[in-house]
Amino acid sequence: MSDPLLAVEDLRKTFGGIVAVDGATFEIESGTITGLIGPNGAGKTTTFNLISGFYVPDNGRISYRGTDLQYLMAPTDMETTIWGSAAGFSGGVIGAAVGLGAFSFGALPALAITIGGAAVGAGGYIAEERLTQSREQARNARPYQLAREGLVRTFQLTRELGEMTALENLMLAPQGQAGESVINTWFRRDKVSTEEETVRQRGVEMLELLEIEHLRDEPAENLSGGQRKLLELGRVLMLDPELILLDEPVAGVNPTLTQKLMDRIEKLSSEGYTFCIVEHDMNVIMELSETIIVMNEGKRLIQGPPEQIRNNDAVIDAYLGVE
Amino acid sequence: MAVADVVVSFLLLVSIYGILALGLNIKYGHTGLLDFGHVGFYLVGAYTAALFVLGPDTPGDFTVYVIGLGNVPLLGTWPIAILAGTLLAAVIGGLVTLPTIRLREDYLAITVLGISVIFQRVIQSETWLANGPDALRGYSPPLQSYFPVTGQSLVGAVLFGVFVAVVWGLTTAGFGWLCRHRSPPLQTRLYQFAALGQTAAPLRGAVLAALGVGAITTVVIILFGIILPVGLVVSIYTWTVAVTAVRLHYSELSRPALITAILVGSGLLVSLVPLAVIETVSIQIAVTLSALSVLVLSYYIAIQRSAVIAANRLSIIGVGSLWFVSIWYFVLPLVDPLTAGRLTGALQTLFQNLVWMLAFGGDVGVGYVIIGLGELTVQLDYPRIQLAGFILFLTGLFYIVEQTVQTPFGRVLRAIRNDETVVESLGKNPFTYKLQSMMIGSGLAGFAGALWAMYAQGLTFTTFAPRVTFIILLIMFVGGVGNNKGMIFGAALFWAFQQATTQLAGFFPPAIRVNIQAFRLVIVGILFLIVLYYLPEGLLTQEGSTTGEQRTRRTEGAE
Amino acid sequence: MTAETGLLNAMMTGVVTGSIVALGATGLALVYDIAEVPNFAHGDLLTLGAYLALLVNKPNTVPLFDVFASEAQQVTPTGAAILFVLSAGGVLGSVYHLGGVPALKGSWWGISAPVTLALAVHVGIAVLVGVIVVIAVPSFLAAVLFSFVMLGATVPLLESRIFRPFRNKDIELAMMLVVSLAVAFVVRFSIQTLYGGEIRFYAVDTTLPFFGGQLDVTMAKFFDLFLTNGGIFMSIQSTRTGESGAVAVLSYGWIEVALMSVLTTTAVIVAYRYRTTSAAVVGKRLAAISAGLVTLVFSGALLSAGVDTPETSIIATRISISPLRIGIVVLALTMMAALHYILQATTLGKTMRATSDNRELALVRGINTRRVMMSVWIIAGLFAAIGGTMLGFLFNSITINLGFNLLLPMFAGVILGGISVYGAILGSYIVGLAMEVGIYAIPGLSATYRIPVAFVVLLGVLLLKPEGIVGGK
Repeated sequence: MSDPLLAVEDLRKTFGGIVAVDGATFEIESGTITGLIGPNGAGKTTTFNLISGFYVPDNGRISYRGTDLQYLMAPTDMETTIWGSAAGFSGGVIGAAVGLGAFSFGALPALAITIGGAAVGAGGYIAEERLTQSREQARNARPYQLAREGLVRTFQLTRELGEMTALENLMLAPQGQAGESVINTWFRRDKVSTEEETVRQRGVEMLELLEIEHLRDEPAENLSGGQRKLLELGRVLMLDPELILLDEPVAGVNPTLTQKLMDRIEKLSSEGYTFCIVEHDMNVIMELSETIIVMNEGKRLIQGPPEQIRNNDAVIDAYLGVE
Repeated sequence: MAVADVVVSFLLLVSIYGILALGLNIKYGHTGLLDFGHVGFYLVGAYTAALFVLGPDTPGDFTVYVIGLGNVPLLGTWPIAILAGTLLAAVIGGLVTLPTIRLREDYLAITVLGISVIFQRVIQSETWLANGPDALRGYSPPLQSYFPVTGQSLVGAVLFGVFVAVVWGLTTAGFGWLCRHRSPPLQTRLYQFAALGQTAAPLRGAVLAALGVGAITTVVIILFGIILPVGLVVSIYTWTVAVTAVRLHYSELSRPALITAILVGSGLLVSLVPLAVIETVSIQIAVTLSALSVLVLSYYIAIQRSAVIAANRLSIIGVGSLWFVSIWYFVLPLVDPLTAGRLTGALQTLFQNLVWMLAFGGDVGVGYVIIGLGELTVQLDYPRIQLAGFILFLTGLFYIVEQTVQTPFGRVLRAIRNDETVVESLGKNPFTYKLQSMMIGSGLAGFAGALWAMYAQGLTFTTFAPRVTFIILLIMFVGGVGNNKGMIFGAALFWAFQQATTQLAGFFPPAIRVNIQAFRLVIVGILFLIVLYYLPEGLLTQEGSTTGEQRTRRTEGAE
Repeated sequence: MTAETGLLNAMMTGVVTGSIVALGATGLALVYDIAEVPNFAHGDLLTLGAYLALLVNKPNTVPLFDVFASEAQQVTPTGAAILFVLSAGGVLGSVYHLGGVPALKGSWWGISAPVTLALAVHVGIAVLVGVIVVIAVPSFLAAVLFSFVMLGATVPLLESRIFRPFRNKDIELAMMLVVSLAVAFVVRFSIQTLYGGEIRFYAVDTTLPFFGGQLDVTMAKFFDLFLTNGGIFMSIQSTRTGESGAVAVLSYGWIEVALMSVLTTTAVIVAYRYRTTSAAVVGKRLAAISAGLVTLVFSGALLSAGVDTPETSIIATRISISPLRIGIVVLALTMMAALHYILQATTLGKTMRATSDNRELALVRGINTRRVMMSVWIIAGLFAAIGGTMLGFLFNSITINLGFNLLLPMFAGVILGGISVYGAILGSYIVGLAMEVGIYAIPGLSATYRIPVAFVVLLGVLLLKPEGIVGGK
């Protein structure tokens, strides 16, 4: 049995006085569909937010493909360079100002002070960054770096880009598009337009796949709730991800569309994608999931195949008890 | 001063503010960053450019500044100065973004406002930097020494040819764009003639045609020196294209709508007549205000009563304004000479305004004697070539900005504006995009600043007050947030309003000029509120056809 | 060693500046927090307050109104009638904003009272105010009262006519900022349209009878402090030339100093612990601070021995301050105390705090959020009136940019403190201190850098804590 794709260990997150997640531990195997259920307030969406990098856990460890999330979300070299150079520049400017004042002592001391200021600024910033990162309590929340590694999620309340068309919403997704760099748009126009065409093709295909091709030029804010769910699913799929966290993908969606969605998810799972789905619709969860994790009060209550969960007393108590 | 000169001056300001607005549009319209301190980058660009072209500071004179690179070869020239101003503004824009990037949108706005005030205060108090509270002067715009041009020297002829080339090129490019989109049969043939027989893409065709025409002109001027006929021909060409453009744009308007528009325009004219005719200030104001109220009220009622008018209400105002402007430009200047019985004078004025490309009067110039018009002296003055340059810059920058935003990059920016979290969840770091957006937007402001330095030939710190940012905000909202064409439109509207009210203020006694100027800003504020409430998308997106265009443009951007 | 103005003086000036900023920032924070409007026009509301006061103080200088002025600073009967109507209308209008006609009948009182009583009280107060204003023309205080009631009635109109329609369109916060910007344009330039561009000033008799002599409130006094081997000396001197010598000298030997410290500390601790048992308007910290200050002042007054100014000292410093500026600090603190009382002890205040926390929840719980918003704007207007008139009085000049110049420090104070009333007060004083002490402490920094210094401080705080000092939601 290979290592799990995602491993969560003793996860803990508190908001003010409320403990949202309280020592949750579970694993997700690659290529499976895992359901995540539990009564309201069990901590499901918070767990998703923690896994996808939008929140930083107070305690516990999340590893994806064997690597700790905090390392995956460490500041990139470019970021460190930008901030470091800015700090250096500011240090240099301050040094120059002081240096100009000290000019009366000679050009060399002035120059030395300027350079010294720049070095102090840049060096100080970089040192601080390294120190923070090396400490265990690195508090990185950079979901985009996780998304680049193939860990993506949808949102409980759909977040579509309302003023942009459905097709544009999808075309936004693919990573590393040449046209996303300003320099390329100015100087490598042919490359950009060729790639745009490819991306557009993929977008249209995705729309056709989800059977909302007729909405391609419609501003996303005009779409119905179910259509928005489809759009959001399409958007994450455009990323060609590995692990997809779906937060209530069929909430408010009509039965026909729900069935289509379920079929789509099953088909994708057979192609190798891994899903973790939070849902309140028990039929959907029972039918889709290979294994179900039940959360209650921020912890994992039980995990197992659907038949085991369906009739489990503890699960039923949890659901009834909270009400 | 002829009306044409007023228009030239107006267009110069519109170009500068148009570029400023384009910059703010990138920041807010495309990326959602509300930058209340935009004027700070305007300041940086202006002062940097000035310091690059100023000669070294001579101690003992009244101007003190830290460095003047004017005498340094290559560095001390205007192109480098403009480039330096733009780059420095962009870099500072980036630096300012770094500490403010995590702030909430309203905090960001206020903080950057504070930073721009800091810049202004630094200029004001550090007298060693840029002459402190006094104006920084002592440099001259490029090529000014050659003007006014009469075409009698080689250099003059070349400059005249360049001017004609630019005007011809821009007009033809616009004309070509029109023809491509509307294909009017008659005009297409005129276009083919103007573009010297080419059928290539509008831009390339226009550039080639421009070069050709410019070359021809230079030769003709060198040989024959006939600047007036050349000016006449080119001016008439521009008028033809303008009229065609207006006709095509408003071709869908029905006759009742057109008539209403003309009535509105004439009504505006009539209500302003008391200002010129009546002597007593209070009666002037009372009559004009009542007439204007009647006009606005009647239009409002007309909108309620007639479906046709309601559907086209903005177009009607547009046509009415054009009608009013045409009368103001062609007819009103004739009133004075006609009432004084000087028919020749009236004809001269009309002719001058027709041939807007040339300046009339003055000591230096080519003399002509024309039947029915009498004696005329003609030259090409500096503001006109400056205008050619500025409009060229504006068009070029507009084109670059459009290119930049109709791309995946622009898409990410708009996505950030809509919902930053989505961008993050898709693997993109919003920080770098916001940084780039601020840098580009600030760079544009810096460019505008350099142009201002060129135009104003002297810089004072009071020019760079927060008031400017607010005017740019107004222009942005009026023209249409996110709409680059709207930026230019908004700038034109604003300066038209300024010009109009300045002229109107001239009818009042000097004692209350301050009050009148304050009142016009009250009107600006009220109009701003109306636009924000009823037309938050701006004026340009409301027109029926443009919305379709807007949507196609969005998908075109996706192509 | 002669005393010269130093850090302590800069700090004192900072407290005065901070008080003025606080007067404006409090209203701004209230509106920002509860009505969710970052009111860019707030500075201009102060200007409006300052200019309105001119109607009473110098009616002959106000264009269009000067026809109703009979001579310098007097009004004709018609003018008086107009002022009466405006003042009374101001009172009634303010009450009206609290809920329309039912408000005039007492619906906002929180206790059930007979309609006629409520009407009578409201009308009575309105008439009283009108009469005071008319009789006391051209007194400065009457002018302030006039401005007070006028702004109370007109500022909420901004909310009902402009901001509420925009809020109902569910626009984003940044857009509200732009809307308030447009409002600022309209307010400021409307004032200028009417009044024109010249600088104005109030005509106020600044001398008051004080303990048998005349005290000019605008004249600064020097408080010289000496730290010597023997103890602490404080001498109060008048600045009027020709009058040399000290008005009073207070000295404290080290024993007295020790005694005072002990007494003050005891008072603080006792008050703090006393208040832990009862939760009331005056909280623990407030009680502790007040007790400490009172003890300090009293023991200071009792324990001093009058001696001559010492010749030599280890440290000598001088604070230059005028009764007017002290008065402004006191006024600001009083108004903030009143606001504190309203917020803590009255139903209105509690509903305000509830609405500030969570507007939807407040709605659900039956709180009339519309009334809360209007009352917030009324209070903001009242504060603006006081702030504007005091500003005009203090600087002896009223210009169009009077309020706008204060706008940036006000926003800095509000943001610095995190958007809440108490945060804004704290932030304003920090801003005031930063402005004055910064200018003092950094050599070569000219006075034009006052606002930039405030912003540098703001920027520094925001770098570390983007929500502000107190803020964080």
